[in-house]
Amino acid sequence: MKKTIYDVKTLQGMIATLQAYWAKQGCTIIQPLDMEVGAGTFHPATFLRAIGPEPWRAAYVQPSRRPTDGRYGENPNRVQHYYQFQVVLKPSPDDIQDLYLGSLHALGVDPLTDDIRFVEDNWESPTLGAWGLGWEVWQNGLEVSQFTYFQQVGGLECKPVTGELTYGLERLAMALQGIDNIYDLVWSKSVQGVVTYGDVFHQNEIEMSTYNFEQANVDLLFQQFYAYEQESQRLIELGLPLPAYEMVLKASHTFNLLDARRAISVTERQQHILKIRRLAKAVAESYYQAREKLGFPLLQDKKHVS
Amino acid sequence: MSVKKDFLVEIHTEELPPKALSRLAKSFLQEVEAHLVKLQLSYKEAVFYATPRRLAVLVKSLMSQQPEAHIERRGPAVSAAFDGEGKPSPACLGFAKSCGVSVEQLITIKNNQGEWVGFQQRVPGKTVQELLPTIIQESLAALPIPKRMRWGSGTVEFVRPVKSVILLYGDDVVDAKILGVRSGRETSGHRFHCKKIISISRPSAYVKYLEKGYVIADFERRKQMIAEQAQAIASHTFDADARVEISAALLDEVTGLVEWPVAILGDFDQRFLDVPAEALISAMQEHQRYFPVVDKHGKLLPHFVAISNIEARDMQHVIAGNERVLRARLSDAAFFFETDKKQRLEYFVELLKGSVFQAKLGTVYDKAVRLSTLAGAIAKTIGADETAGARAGLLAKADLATAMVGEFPEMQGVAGSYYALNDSESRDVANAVKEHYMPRFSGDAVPTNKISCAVALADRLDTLVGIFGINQQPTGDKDPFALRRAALGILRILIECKIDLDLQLLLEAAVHGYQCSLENTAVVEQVLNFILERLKPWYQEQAINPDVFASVAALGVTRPYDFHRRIQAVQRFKQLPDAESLSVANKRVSNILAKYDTPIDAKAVNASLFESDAERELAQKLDVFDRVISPLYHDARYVDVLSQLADLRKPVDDFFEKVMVMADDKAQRENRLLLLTKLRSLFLQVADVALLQK
Repeated sequence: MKKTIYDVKTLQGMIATLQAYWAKQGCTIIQPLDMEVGAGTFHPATFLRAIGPEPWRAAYVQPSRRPTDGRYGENPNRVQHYYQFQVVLKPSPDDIQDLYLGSLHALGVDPLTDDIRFVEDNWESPTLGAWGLGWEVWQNGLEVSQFTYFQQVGGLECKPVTGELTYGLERLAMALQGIDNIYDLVWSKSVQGVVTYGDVFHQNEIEMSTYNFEQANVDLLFQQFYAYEQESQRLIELGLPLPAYEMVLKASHTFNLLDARRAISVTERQQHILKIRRLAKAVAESYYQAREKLGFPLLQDKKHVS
Repeated sequence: MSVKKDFLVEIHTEELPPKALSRLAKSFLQEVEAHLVKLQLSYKEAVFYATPRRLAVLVKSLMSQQPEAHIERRGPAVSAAFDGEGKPSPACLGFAKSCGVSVEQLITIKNNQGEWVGFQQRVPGKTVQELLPTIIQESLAALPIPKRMRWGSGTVEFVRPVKSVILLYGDDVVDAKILGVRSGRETSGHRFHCKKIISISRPSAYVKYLEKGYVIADFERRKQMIAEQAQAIASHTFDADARVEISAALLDEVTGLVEWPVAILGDFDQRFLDVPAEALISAMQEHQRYFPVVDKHGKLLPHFVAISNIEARDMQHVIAGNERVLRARLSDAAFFFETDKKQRLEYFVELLKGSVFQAKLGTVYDKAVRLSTLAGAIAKTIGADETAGARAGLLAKADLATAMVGEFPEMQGVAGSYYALNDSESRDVANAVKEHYMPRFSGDAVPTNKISCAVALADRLDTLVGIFGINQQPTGDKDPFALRRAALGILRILIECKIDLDLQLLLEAAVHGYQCSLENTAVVEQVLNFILERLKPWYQEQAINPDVFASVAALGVTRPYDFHRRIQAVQRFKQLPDAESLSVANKRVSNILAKYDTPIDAKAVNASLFESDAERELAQKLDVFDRVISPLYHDARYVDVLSQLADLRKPVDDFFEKVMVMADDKAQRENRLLLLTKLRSLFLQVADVALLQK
């Protein structure tokens, strides 16, 4: 791989580099899901595409929200809104680890300068009825990526297995830029000067933390949660897995906000998670059937670009 | 002809789980050896190798072929096999057919009991080339892998994806398909230091070739290198008093994380030493897999040792990276510690109202209030300060609401203890906040003082009674509230801390704390049985014989410490020369009394009815012992009681020898039965020695 033309010492340069690299590996570069989600896994391009026999390669940035991680802009490492760069390869190729290391190389990481390690980390999402085995990837002791071989999604066995790579963009950028405080990250350098992560997001972290922990309307959120849940159920029955899935995502984020407001007791918590999981499973099955009805289009021979 | 050559198998994979690595490799070795033994393939020795990316076994001087097997089958007797004309009978023909040969090929087997037709066959042993593939496949299938995974489009399952497989017998590849991969002689070296494929010419060269490829294949050797390097780097940099804290479990894990260990030394800011050492150690060990550095007094120094997997071009760069990660973690811990300390620990008790203990049993706050009452009461009963017990009970769970424990759950108890001291609570109270979780696991120590014990007991009793009270007792292997562990904890605290309290009363007090809100009205009895049931396996683990246990269990003692002292006494008693005979006598008495189902009219032993000296002697001895033993018994000096009673052997033996218990005369019979009842009850004060076995 030729050295990147982008400045990997900026956040935007990193993203551009990763997109170019994975496009070259045959990934379709998708855009972020326009909804609040806790991780790139929730994007239909991962969650739904991991279901069924159709091959799939995609990469995208996903803004992710974890309301309980808000720290009012005061913690140098933790934010309630951040970015993941997500890559899915289905079926997982034999050289998937090498492909991943190639992407680090494209970002200027030299594995004899930085100590890169694959450390066991098994993933389970109770809300998605999904689990997989894999690693967190360490760069000098810092977890910069998650690496998972999906075994089950929405309660369905993954055949073939999807390999999922998730880069924590801010962490990786902090390591590449040698910076201790997330808000000092260089987002871009231009003739107008340097734009930092703080310039873009600091105010957002303060206001959103205030909203998540203090102002989110608990009664309204509960109403919404139940409404999304019912709506999802209704849509599943109508054989509309995609809109039903959006309702699951909305319910899931609403649940996270209620959690941040500490409005959910331990036992209720379990019940709500089970509700979301039931829906996610129903969506998964419904999606599988819909693809089956279409004859699993991506399994068909594709036209090749000459 | 069988020859002997070395055999090597290597399964080269993506990174394996480090904590499970050595166990996996050892199991692999055991399985392979077990198969070889079973198949009569002898060898000199076998060893395992294990790195994050490979499991391997080397078998030295393995026989190339199984020994030839001789099969002999016996058919019908010669007399039944042939008729007078020498023609084979149907039985003989059938036998030949079942052996797959003609009658002519059968032989005659002769011994001093007769003659039979027979069949003999020499079966040549199979070669290792034939056998090894199955041996390896079966050994891998038997590995203790908690979760197997699939990858790509395949159906093969293993710990992690398999990259290549070496099967070498001598210089030759044993051709096989293992876990979806064709066997060969090639493998990879270090992921980053060795770009070339490594081709293994012969099994014994494996370790050497890998070392050239920057891989230390031998797990134990790598482990030792890590320990030595870690210690050396600390001693070189600081004075000889600086010591690296190396826990065995972490050392094992780190060994499973590197193929080419290189120790590096990093620092952290001195100011973090104000944070509780447990939080710093947890951040270093649990989260980062670093080894902490301490001075000669065991006090934490602001340094750590990390084990890198590369000889980096610029070690300073790797160190700086690791320091940055740790700094972020420690800043978090420090921030939480400072934030929490702005409030008194008591303040967090209120916050426990926000977390549910169990939906039907209220919040953790409610539990804290109950703990306070119960721990206070227990403290008072065992001669400790009631106020301190109540205070410790109230504060015990407070730290669950702190930011520190929210972030570092393993700091529960420890954090609270620091905050208690910071608030100038008494040392006993602070200790109890920390120690009431003990024993946390099997083999863990019990609390060190009475206040801690009071809270530890109260906590477990409250949970047991509460959960049983709403009928959610454990079933099968489902025990979500860890009630079995709680029950054993209670027993261990009472026994090991020598606290002689009655479980019945403790449980009643715990139930009282719930103020009649428990639906299960049989809760005391059920929990009591549940707790006492734990005694049997616990004593079994300590190699107390089942009969000794049964002899005490028969009495229905509900004070575990008292139970324990009886067990010890019976153990001692069993060693005495008179024990066996007395046990037999007790059995006999017990049988006689059990069989006699007529009500006894007589009220007391009547000396005037005695006929023989043996009777008189026994009666007199029983009277004497009754008086002697009574004070011993009241002081629970069971060892002394039983050693005194051992002296009864002779009078008891004489009695049975000379006296006929079941006399025809009713008065005499009843008198003798009363005498025996008295004898029996003397023993039963301590244990039912009739249940002892030889």
